[in-house]
This record gives sequence, C-alpha cells and structure tokens, in this order.
Amino acid sequence: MIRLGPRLTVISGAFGTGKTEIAINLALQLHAEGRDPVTLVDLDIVNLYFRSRQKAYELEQLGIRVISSVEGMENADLPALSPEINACFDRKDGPVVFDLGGSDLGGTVAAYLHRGFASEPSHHWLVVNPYRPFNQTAEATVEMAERIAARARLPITGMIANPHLINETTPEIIREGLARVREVTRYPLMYLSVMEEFYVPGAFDDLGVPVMVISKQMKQPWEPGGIMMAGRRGKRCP
Amino acid sequence: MKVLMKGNEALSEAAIRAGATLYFGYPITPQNEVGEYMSRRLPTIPGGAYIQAETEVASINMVYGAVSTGRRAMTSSSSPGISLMMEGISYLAGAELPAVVVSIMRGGPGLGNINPEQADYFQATKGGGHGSYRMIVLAPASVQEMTDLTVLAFDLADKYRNPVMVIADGNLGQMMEPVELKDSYPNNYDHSAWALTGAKGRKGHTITSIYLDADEMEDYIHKLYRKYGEIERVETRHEEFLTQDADVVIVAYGIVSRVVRSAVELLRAEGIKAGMVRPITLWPYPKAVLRKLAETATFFLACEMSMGQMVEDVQLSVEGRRPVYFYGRSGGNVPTPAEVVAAVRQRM
Repeated sequence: MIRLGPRLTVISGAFGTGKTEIAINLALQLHAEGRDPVTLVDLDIVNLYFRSRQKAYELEQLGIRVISSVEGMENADLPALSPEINACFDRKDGPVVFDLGGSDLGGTVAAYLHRGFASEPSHHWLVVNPYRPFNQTAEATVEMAERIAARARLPITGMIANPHLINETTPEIIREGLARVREVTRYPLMYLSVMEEFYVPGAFDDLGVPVMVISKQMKQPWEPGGIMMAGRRGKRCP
Repeated sequence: MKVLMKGNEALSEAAIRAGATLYFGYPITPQNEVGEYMSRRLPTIPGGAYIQAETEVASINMVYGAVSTGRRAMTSSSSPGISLMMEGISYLAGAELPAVVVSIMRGGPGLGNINPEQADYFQATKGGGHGSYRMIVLAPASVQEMTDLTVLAFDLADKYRNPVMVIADGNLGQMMEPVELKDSYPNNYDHSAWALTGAKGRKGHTITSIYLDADEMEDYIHKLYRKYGEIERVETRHEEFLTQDADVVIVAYGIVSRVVRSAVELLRAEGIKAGMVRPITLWPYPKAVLRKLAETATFFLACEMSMGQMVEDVQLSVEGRRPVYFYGRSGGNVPTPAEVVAAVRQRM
C-alpha cells in the first residue's frame, strides 16, 4: 500500500537514479490499489532517451492518464510541455505523479508549475541510487538534492532508496546500498525500492523501511517487452 | 566495486583514468553527458581543462594543438558535429598525431533526429576526411566496453600516432549498465622525439602534413600506409558467437550485436544453426574470419541500424563465395530479435 497524504507526488533525483522507473511503478501501484483516476506527468525535458512517455501507450490502455510533451513533439529535445499539465492541478480528482527530469536542470520545470504546486500540498521524493557516479557520497547526494529543490522551488520531503546494479543486483548490493543511502540523514527515508526479480517476501523485513516492489519498465530493445526508441508506428502497437 | 553508469559517462571517466586531461567539445544530443561529465571532472584534476568550443571545427583543431604537446586529449560529438570535424581528423592523420574522437551516432542525413542510428559507418571507416589516410575505429557493444575500448583507443593512438575513433549509437551512449573501472591505466608513451614541449636545449620539432614536393609527399604517404598495414596485421579485433557449426552467419556491431545475440539464441532454439561475428574494430575490418567462415556457412546476413553500409565490407571479405544479405532499420528504430529471426527465415 502506498502511503499517500498529499495527492501530488514529485519524483526527482540525479541523472539515472531511477526516477522514471519509480514514477511509472508508483502510478501503476496507485492504479492497482484502485485510486483512479491516476495521472502520470512526464516533465523530463532534459533527455529524450528512456522517458515515461515511451510507455504512454501501455499505461493509457490501463486507464492511467499520461501527460507529456505537445502531441507530435515526443522526439524533439525541446522544452515543449503540454498545456494539459495545468489541468492536473485544477481537476483535483485523483493522485498525480510527476516524473521530473534529471538533476537541477530538470527541476526548473517544476518551478514553472509553481503556481499549481503552491495551491495544494505535495510530496517531493528524491530517488537515490548510491551506485551512480554522483550519488556515491552523502555530501554529493545532498548537494545535488538541494540544487534540485532550489531550482524546483519545492523542498524535498522524503527519499526513496533505489540501490541496484540492474541485472547484477544481489541482496547484499541492496543492503549495502541502503546503508549508504541512510548516511543521508537530512531527508526521511520513505521506501526501499526493489526490482521484483530480486525481491523475496520477508527478506528485507529487518531493514525497518517499507519495501516498494517495482517491475522494470525501461527495457532494452533486445529484452522481452523492450521499449522502442522512436517511431510513432511502434507506439501505436502494443 | 562496480558503478552504474551511462555509456557516455563511462567513456568519459575511462578517458580521465587513462590520463586524458584535456577535453574540447560542442554540445549535441545524444552525447551531451560526455561534455557535462568532463566539465565537472576535469577542472578538479591537476593540469586538467575543459573547453566548450564555439564549434566542432574549433574543437577538433583544439585537440590538434593539445595532442601536439604530447598530452592526452579528446573530443566527442554526434553525427552532424562529426561531419564538421572531418577536415581536422584528416589533418591529425596527416600529421601523425594521437587523438581520440568519440562519435555517438544519431539519425540522419542532415539534421535528422536524436535517435540512435549506425549510418555514419562510411564516414568513420572510409575516409570522411580528404586524402589517403586511415583512422582506427573501435565499436563497443556494452557500457563496460565503452570504458575498455576508450582506454584502448588512447593506447592505440599513442602506439601508432594516429587518430582513433570510438563509435557507438545514441542508445549505447544513454543506456546504463554496471561497469568496473581500474583506478588508473598505463600512460607512459615517450613523446619526446616529436612533441612540441618547448625547444629548450634541443632542436625544434615541426608538426605538419605539408609536403610540397611530389616525391616527398608520395614517400610520406607510403610511410603512412606501411603503418596502416601493420595496424591491419596486429590490431584487428572481433568476437564470435556460436559460429563454429553455423550455417547462417549474422554480422553485427555495437548495439545491434546485442539484438542479434538474442536472435541467434532464438534461431538455435528452432534448430537453425545460426552464429554471429561482431567486429570490434570497424577499421581494420575482421576480413579474415569472414573469409574463413565463407567456407562452411551457407549465407551471411549483415544487420545494421542503417540502410546498409558495413554490409559492403562483409561482401568484400566473403569475396563472392556466399550470398550476403542485409537487414536494417533506420530513423532511430532499433531492430528486435524477432525481426532478425524473420529476416533469416525469409532467406532460408
């Protein structure tokens, strides 16, 4: 069960820490828990590779609203955001997950939506993977986090520990990584995320943090269920 | 300990640990993480410098100047930017200078798009720049290889005093995989015989590619080609996957080899004896292994994210002994294993 107080949840972090995976999984879990209508907003204008919008078709089939760039501009590296984004503040009809682009640059987009965020409370959860180059020390993580928060004009309210090495993840890697994330004492730890293939029920119960089991969404083209990089044709076919 | 890195970040860190202290570049997607990484890291290194040049033409000429002093330097770009660097690459080859150029290919021609392609194979391996020269071209297929082959690129550049290109596509640049890096890599080539280090107490060195006399020019070109011949003999690299009994040999490099590996496994499960040859050096090209496999294989299939460029080298290697077919996607579409399986079945 996802512990949601506020309706709005912003997911941010340094490049490649797993923001998009967490954001999509959060939307999927909220949907599975029957908290519809669930909306996923892709605010990544930093990098067009491996973004939420590449899963838009599948998510929309489930009934999850996906809002991203302007129709037809999905493959442009332009800061083109859909005007529909403002509607998620007005509708007030269900949880909204915002997938912010990487680093402080990505945070800028949240500042652009400041009026909306000022109108009601929100979470701002920082995703931390201590196996990524710029998340390897607590100091580096906090420095980047504070830059994101300043740019986004949204203080960070919690952390999601996402310690993994993709297919080379082991229970030890998860445990050691979590210990390193806990060296960041500035923000409360909300969840430990664990990919489903490495999750064993009960195995992480002693860690004192709720576990969010996630399924890998951003798969490589050669993996079963892999995402296609580009074409609109591919987007229409499941 | 392993770190989770994007291809672009991994090659940057590898370059630094291989002793590169100077980076010059101009932003272009999908390789911007290289410049971003270098701009963070290099200023913290003794003697390190990062310069965002005004163009790619400036970047490659800054590299020319920097490596003339015997320091390890590099640049990186993507397709249209690499086009702009071609004159400079010819000058580097002509002046026998060791430099590393990273090319993270995107869609083209023209402005194209920022999706992954492999359509700059001709540009990298067949000249691109003017004149009689060759550039060593290395094609990684994983994030780990992005690091390993970048380290190798600096070594080969110094060993042969020649530009070396590391070529990958946008997908490899952007994807993340666990990598293992050593703290540092050997960097002890002696440049004292030619580098411009201030001619105190010795005669000055001259770095140039100008030879006004026809015979002098010809002799110099012959000298270059003796070197290229040596590179072809010694430095050709490839990987084979289940080729020993293969009826069908699929040839693919870079990211497409990852797709083809899955396709080969699917074909084997259906009882079709498929195998793969993955060129690691695109120049020099692993001709000998393909020529040898032509004795036992029924046909070859080149798979690329282009309209068919490397396929010509497969044909040249096979020398007409067996049919050589082609399957490719372009525009930024990455072929799926199922598509490759279908392309093989269609030719059975």
